[in-house]
Amino acid sequence: MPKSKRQKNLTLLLAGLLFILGVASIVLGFMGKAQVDFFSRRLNMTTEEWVEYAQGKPVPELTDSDYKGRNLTESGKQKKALQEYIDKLTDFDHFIMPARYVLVGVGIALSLLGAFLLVRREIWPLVTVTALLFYLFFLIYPLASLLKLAIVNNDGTITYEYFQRMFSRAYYTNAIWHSVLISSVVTVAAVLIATPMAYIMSTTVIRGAGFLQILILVSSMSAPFIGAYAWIQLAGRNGVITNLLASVGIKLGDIYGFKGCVIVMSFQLYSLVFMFIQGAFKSLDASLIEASESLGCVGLRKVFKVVLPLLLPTILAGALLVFMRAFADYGTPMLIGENYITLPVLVYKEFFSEIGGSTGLAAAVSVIAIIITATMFLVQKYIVSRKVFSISALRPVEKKKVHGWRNTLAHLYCYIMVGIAIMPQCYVIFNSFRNTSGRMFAKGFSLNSYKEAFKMVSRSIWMTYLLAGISIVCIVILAYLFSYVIVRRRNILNATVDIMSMFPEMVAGSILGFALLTSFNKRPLLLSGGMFIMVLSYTLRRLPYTVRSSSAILRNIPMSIEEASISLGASGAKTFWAVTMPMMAPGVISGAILSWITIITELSTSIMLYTTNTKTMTLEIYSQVIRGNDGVASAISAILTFSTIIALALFFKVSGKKEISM
Amino acid sequence: MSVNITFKNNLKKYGNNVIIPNLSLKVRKGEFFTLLGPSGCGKTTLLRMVAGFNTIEGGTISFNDTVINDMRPDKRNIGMVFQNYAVFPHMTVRANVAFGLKNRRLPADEIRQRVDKILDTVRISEYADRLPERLSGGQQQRVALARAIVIEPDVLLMDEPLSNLDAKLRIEMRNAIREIQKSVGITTIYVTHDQEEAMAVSDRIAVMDKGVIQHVATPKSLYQRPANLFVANFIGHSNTMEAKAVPQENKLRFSTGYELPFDNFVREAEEDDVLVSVRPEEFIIQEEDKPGIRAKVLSSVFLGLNTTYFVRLESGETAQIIEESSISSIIPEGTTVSLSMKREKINVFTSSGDRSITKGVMDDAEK
Repeated sequence: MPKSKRQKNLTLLLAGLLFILGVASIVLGFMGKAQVDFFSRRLNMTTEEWVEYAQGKPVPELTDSDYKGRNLTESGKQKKALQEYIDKLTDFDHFIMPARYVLVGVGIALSLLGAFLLVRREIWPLVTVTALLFYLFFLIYPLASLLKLAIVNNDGTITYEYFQRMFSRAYYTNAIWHSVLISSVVTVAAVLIATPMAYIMSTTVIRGAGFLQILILVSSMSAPFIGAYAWIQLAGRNGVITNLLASVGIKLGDIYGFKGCVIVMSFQLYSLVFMFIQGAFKSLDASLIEASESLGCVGLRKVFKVVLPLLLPTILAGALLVFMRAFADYGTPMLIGENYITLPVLVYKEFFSEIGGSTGLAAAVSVIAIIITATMFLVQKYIVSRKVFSISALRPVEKKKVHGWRNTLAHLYCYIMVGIAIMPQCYVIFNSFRNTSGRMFAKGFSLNSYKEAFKMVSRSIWMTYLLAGISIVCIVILAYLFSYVIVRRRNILNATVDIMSMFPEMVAGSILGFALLTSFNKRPLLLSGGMFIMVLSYTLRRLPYTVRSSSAILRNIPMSIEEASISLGASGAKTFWAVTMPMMAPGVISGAILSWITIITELSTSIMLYTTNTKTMTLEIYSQVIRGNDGVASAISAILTFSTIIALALFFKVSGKKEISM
Repeated sequence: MSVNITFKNNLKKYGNNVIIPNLSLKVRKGEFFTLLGPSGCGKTTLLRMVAGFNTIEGGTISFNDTVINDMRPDKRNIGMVFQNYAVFPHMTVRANVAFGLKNRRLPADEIRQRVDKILDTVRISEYADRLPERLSGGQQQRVALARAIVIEPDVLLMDEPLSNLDAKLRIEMRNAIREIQKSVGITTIYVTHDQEEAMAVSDRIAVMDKGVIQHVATPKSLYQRPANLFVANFIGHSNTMEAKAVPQENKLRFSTGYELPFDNFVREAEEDDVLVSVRPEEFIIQEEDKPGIRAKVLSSVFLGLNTTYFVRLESGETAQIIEESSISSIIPEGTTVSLSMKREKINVFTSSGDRSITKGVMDDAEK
């Protein structure tokens, strides 16, 4: 007789407990490590030294030599601080700090053992539980503590003071207004640029259309603020175009502020709408257009009466995505906005400013921002789900050759718009090869900037790839597991996992960074200030996209493939490993590659969470720009752009697709 | 090593929705056994209960004397062939077939030998190193079959394996399946809704409807002596007519007054209203003035070997008749004829249709 059901359940429970214990132990270990790093950095001593003191090694008494007159010397201050820190430590700290490596080690061993026991049964309930705990701890808790910060006073009473203060001061209300205004104008501008272009490129033959496509893709995938930076170099106060025009007597207006933000964002983000509409055109049946022509509706009338109404849901969906991106952008308004402050900038300033800043106010502003972005996100999802024509076309719209002035106009429009969009990238790459002397550009070309970049900031280059690499590994593993339970084990808990995994998309990057920072900034939940929290934020932010692309491919794999494997004697785990995972790979990997690109080009979360040890390329570009070190900034930007292009090429190779869906 | 399979009082339900109320059945060792029925009758559900992909809410299923209810599907030693082939698209034909053997941790050279042998048996050796996407549907189904039998399973389960193939390939494949099953001698349960396919391959067939087994018998017995009207109508085509049974006089009295001598009643049959089921080929067309049921020819279809007539009986019902085509001309539309029947072939059922009162019905579900 096989083991009784009760016995089986007991083993399952035990294995689950072992696993959860193991994971908890790993988290504790990381917390210990974060604490050790935190204190030893503050005290300027090695981690080993600090741990020795923490474990009870007597702190050296303050001696006369530690005083200079009546004041403490540096070494004296350090001894005093050391004593203070040690007095603050609790039993919990005494336990986790020295035991940090042991905890991680034991944790890994326990969770592996638990996982192994479970794999021999059924691992999916465990994945569900882990996923829920993961989101509870790393998403719900941070967002809840953000809300708490916004409505709870220091003394623990509920207050609306922060909201009142926020709404009563123009400085804050303006930031909200600025954000909404910029996002709206950018959205309209992006739609106005993209719609004609998508229409032209889908219905007429444009020479070099393939090349234009690639340029559009590259400009859409590049780091947003690099565009801002390049525009400043081109049309800023001392920009190339500004000076050129000034030399012939034309005085160009100011590019900074609202105008600058709109120009930069519109030309970066219109590509999203373009790709949406182009996708919709592929599923538009040519006979619809022909029917309209045969009924006497031609030319612009046809466009407005037939084509645009059919495309409207798609355009709206793309437009709302543009709104979200523009709203969440931190780098662009920071660089080119100058005194035109938007919400993400406000949160950053309010939280980090040495004087006058208020965490409560920053939290209140964040809550408003989340409400706006979440609303936009839900409206967008609603529109996409109601997309009118999702049937694929029997006969897609054919591209026709047009002649004469129409042809010229069509080509001019496409080339000029794409040209403006890609110009900043090209200019930055061009600059990166220019000769430099000191911080200034000099005549001729050289690789000086690159040499300089590698000399100064090679650490952040490798750090970027390292962080993005670790994040992608986490994303791939979690995407496999989460999408499997979401698609194959439908129940209320896994539906919750589904919703949770999409949730970070509704929150602007800098707000999520802020939430993580405020919740994991204090002992005993001290996780900030290391790679862990950076990887965590990247993983949270990019998981939705990858889970979506993985789920989509899993839904297309018939259940009987897995059943076939099981009936051939493979266990559930073996089936997942040998059959399901390889079949899901194209969806997961292509999702991961796009995520990798967004991670290496992302700024808004990183700027909230980084320390000098975890500075990424985008942060480095940002600080080099601020310092006026244009050569190095250009060189790092160019490296980023090249990385993006290579990753994109890889994406197309792996996915076998010809376009990207957002 | 093949086994016999015993189903004992099996219950299957989803929530409160009962799919199979109480099913008992014995499948013999080495037998080619078919579950036949309309879609939604529970045949695939039952098959998946054997495979372990559906839970069993009541009763037991045993292989020989071992109850398998709580055995994990991967431990049941089952070969399964699916409707959509379910060939692993990321593995070559060889890797597909070797998959089950690798799970059993056999030595590499033995795996190679057995795979080669089975690929020969199902005649796909030449495609061994191809990926499935470059194979036709029939070839993919051969891979699926090879993959299922190479592990020498105790039981081979096939879930409508031919329904995705075109008509010609279907006939070719069903002959191949039959031949291969006989040569390896594995107990096989085959699910289909196609009665012709079922007759062609099976040793025995269970006809199912609404989760209940209606009749278990050999194809010949099922066709000639169906246990109830549902089976008679589902297997082949039947014309049903009302009549009165007069067992004392060995007669069937039709509503039109025609009396047919009939001595095939079971012993317990009584004088009562009955339903007479006559297959199209069991009618005899005679001149109008001969004794029989009068009928008017509505239309005819010439099919080469046979000619089919659609007629209206004098009782008002329509009926279908099949006659071997003769060299003389086809009976023209509008002609009135007289119909008699091949009385040793026809079947008589109770007026509710749920029981045959004809002698010679065999039902061996072996509950």
